[in-house]
Amino acid sequence: MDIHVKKEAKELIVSIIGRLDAVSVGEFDKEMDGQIKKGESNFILDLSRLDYISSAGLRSILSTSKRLKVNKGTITLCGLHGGVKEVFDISGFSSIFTIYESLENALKSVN
Amino acid sequence: MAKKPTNLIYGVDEKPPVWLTLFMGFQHICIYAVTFSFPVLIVREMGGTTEQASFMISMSMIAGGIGAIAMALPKIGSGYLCPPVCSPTNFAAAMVASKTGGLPLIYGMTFISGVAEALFSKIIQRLRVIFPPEVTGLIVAMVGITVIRVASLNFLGLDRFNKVIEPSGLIVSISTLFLMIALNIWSKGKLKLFCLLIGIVFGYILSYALGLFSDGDLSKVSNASFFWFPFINHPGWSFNISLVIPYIIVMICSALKTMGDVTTCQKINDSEWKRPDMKNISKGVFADAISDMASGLLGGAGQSSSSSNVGLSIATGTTSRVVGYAAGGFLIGLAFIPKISSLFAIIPKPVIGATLVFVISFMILAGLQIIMSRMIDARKTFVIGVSFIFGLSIDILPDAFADSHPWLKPVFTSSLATATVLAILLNLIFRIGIAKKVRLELAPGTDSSQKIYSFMEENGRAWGARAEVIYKAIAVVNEFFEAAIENKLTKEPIDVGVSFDEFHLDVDIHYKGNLIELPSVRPDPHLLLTEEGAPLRLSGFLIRSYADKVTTEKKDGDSYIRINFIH
Repeated sequence: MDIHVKKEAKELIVSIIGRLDAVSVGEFDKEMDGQIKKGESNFILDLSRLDYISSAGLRSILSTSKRLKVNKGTITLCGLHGGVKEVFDISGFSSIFTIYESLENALKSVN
Repeated sequence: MAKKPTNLIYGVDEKPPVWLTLFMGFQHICIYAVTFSFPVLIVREMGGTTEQASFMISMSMIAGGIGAIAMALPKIGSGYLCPPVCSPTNFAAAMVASKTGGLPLIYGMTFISGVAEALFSKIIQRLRVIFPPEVTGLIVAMVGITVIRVASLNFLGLDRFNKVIEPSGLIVSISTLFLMIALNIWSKGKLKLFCLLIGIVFGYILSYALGLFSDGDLSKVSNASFFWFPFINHPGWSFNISLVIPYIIVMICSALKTMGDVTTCQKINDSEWKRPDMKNISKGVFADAISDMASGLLGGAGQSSSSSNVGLSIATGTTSRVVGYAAGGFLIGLAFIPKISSLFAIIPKPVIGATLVFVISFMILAGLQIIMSRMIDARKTFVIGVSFIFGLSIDILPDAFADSHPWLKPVFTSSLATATVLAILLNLIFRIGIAKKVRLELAPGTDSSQKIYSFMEENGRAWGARAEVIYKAIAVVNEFFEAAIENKLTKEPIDVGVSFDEFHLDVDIHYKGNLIELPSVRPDPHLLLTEEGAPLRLSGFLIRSYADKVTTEKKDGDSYIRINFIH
């Protein structure tokens, strides 16, 4: 898994590439922790290049979201497709996150 | 039940308004006119008369009309809009027959070929193993590719007498093609539906304006009678046992082409298409056989399903079978009206070229999409690649195969036949060594999910499985493996058996330890971080949701999970 981070206005765009499962959640959690400690509070998770997510990955995103809420931060998802979108729909996570079809739409909405 | 794709305006079961159906049917027979050149060539090569050529065209039209209707009838044919036309595949065998016994022998042997194809259609559905999607996809693509040479020669206005490209012809072909494409891409409604017909009419007018019609062409139309009863000109039938084998080879080539065309029809009419429906293909080949038998009996040229017409139905988004009935009716009716059919017979070469380039673009792409609908490994790469290369060599190096045995000429004069025969043979050879059942041992604490991905992807490619089913199986095994480690379901190795056939993918998980719960009710995602046991229930719920069927069993400390995926 690779993580690319880019700041755009007040938003931190985090692109996750590859697979987010029990093996890679540690790296994801570490990155998110680091960014939150730096003071980042508005995240857009770009999942357009995510190939697979397991329940461990889902829990990790949920945990990040809960931590952000404490600081009145937000987490927005975009670019869900294929199997990844299916997991979000099946697990019910689609209804607890704000999700946009594309990064462009996500940026438009927050701006 | 097929699901109509969103890009179709009128699906196979839908009925457009009557006037639209008639216009669409007429548009389809405009493509049929392109193939009139084959009976004309046969008669011309054997030194026959214009009347004999006219008779053969009329009879080919009636046979094609019968075939178009039979093909569109779901109880007899495939039920798709896939009309048969005069086939170039028959040309080499017809030339041999014409030298031995003239037109009566051509007609007699065409009938025999039709009977053989009817018999072949009854066994083709048992041959599923030799026609996996990558082979049928190759056939579909080659059905389009095989027309490239004819399309290019006509587009550039070249033949064995004309070796120089005439600017006026090129102006007609480029502008006709541009108009068809522009109407297809940028217009909506009726203009898009009739893009080919409008393009052809424009091509005729421009050809006339630029002087591409000779006086002979125009007099053919003006001298043609309004009505004739062609049956009285039938020369009879004869048979020759030595020609049975070349005609059987022709029949197989024709059946393979129909198989490719019907497969395309299945795919374009079902957004959830997974694999060729061999029973439906069998009926399509039977309809093709009816057309061939009718042609032999009546006195027409050998018939085969038309990939160009399938391409047109994709282009216009109209695959309605009633259009097939209309096209068939028009063909039969116009066979008795030489005035109109002669207008088709003088269609300028650049217009033929533009029409073919327009319609075969869709066929080639449909074939490539079918090939790529499955995972591809090195074996399949060679099946597809080697077959493509040697199939194309027939068109690129036609002289290299000029001395092949007359019986084999239908194969070595057709890039489609060569590529298909090679693909079937290579597929059968390369199947050797592919296990249908494979095993994977996962050691908790040692192995990672990477082992699961590599194992499943490697075998998925070897099986030529659909990627989405393999990724579901990966998700299930990985979800279970993560849950087993996190919740300490077992400390022993986990045995994973995976078996595949074209219709099912089964995953059998066996381990010593506690059985995982697979709830059918989704746990509340809000409780995942707070409630003990919720993460394990989510894993179990995901496993159950991914699978089409799942069963569990605990026996003497051993846990068994059997997960079935419909492929």
